[in-house]
Amino acid sequence: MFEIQNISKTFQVDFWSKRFAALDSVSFKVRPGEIVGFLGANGAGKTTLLKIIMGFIKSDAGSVQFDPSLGKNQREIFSNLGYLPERPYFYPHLSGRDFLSYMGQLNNVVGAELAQQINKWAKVFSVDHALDRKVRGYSKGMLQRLGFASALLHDPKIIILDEPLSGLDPRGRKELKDVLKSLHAQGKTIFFSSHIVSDVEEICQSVVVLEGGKLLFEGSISNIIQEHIKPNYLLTTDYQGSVDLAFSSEKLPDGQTVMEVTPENKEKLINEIIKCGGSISGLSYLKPTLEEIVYNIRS
Amino acid sequence: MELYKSRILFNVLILGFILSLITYIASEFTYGTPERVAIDFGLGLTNLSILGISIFMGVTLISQEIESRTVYMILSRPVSRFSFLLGRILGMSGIFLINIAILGCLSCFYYILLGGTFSSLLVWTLFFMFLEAGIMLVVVILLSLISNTIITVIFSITIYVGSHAIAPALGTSFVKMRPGIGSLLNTYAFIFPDFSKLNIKNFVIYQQALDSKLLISSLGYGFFYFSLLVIIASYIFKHKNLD
Repeated sequence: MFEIQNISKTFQVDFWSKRFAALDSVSFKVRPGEIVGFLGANGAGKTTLLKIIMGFIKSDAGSVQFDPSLGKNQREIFSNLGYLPERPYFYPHLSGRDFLSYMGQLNNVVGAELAQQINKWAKVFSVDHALDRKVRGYSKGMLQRLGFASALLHDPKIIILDEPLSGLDPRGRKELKDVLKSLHAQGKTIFFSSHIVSDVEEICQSVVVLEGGKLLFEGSISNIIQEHIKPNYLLTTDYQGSVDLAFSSEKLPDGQTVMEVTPENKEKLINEIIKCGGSISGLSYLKPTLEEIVYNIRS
Repeated sequence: MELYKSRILFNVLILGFILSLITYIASEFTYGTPERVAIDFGLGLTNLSILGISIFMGVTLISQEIESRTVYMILSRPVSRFSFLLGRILGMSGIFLINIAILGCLSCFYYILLGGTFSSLLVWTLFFMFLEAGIMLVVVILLSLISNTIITVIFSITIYVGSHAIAPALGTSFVKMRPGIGSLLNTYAFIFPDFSKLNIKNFVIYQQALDSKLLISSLGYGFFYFSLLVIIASYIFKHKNLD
């Protein structure tokens, strides 16, 4: 759906300071119909890259190529694109309905269709009860929901979201994740940034990991898991002695010991424990989380 | 929207009331020419109010949208930066128009009520005020795109005062005797707006005639300068990093 090609961006805080690289030759591709999580710690360069994609700031080098199916020029491409910035900002003197109406009109959604879309998305994001209130009276979570609704009014083919789940309570996060899943099921391409790995792991197929302005990983989440960490086993035993074959071990309050063992040493460890008179009360496959892998890659 | 936000109608009504009050006082205390005092004061107040709006609201018109990042919500839609800028300028021009319509009509009403005769120059004067405010607005926007709020306000007021003072200064014997200063002032008038071309208030007050060719050339100058500034401002805005 779009491709980032060797994007680099440097910033200079003031005239005398040295320029620092916010992005360093970042390249990746987001394919049609994919839901891609854009991961990175605070200050990794996620928002800078999203601003470059949206044309708010210019890159020093590289380019952003949108799929021709989205349109030939920026006007056509943006007609098919829904964007939610990090901490969306609104005109506080407008009501929620006026704001959505204004945003819809900018996307050439008018009349009965606009009214229908406003009501539909306001209901989905549970802000329908507050639509006629001034935006200045909205809570942070409500603003996030209103911003999300405004990004979907024109039924975009691609949705780009900058930290869409920040500022939401657990219920709100779940609701928004459900909306993202449902949009993905409808065939929309979704690219969203987050610094919370578990959110991305829960709803995304693919991930782009940025660290210090450099691309750390790009690809499917299952690939990253297979590529970077060998899955280990968790073995629970009543055996109290020390065993060299265990990767790590931890004593539980009930006297049992949980040992982490690599697949190669699993059989040997079980045999050794049994030989020493111990018994095995549990053996489970330890699937690493994306969060653990991302931390491992960083380190 | 801008009109609603600024609550400009409320301000205009207050100014209208002040205008009515002072015109009444002036007519009571002025001997012989109350209508001149009324129109002089009315046009002055109208000019001052739209100038104030153009400088003090213009300085935040685009920069606040960038700082508060509402600009992201708009420019992420099929809206070009030029359209956005032009929309903001036209919105503010609407405010000028309402301001001029209310205060200008009130001034003309008191002028005629106190014995003045209606002249088409009155309409020209009001229109030139509108054009001057438009030019000042784009000057302010342009400066705000490359500078901060305080510097923009200071520079804008300086440009406004300088642009009004340039023609009278060129006419003084002091400047005439010093060709160096004269060419310097002419250079200033070439680069910065020459508002004396759009200031025909005195012709209205003293009921003097004005050649239509001069009016047309002033109008052309005003439009040309306004358009040129809009093009420069939109070029800067198009290439500005909105971070």
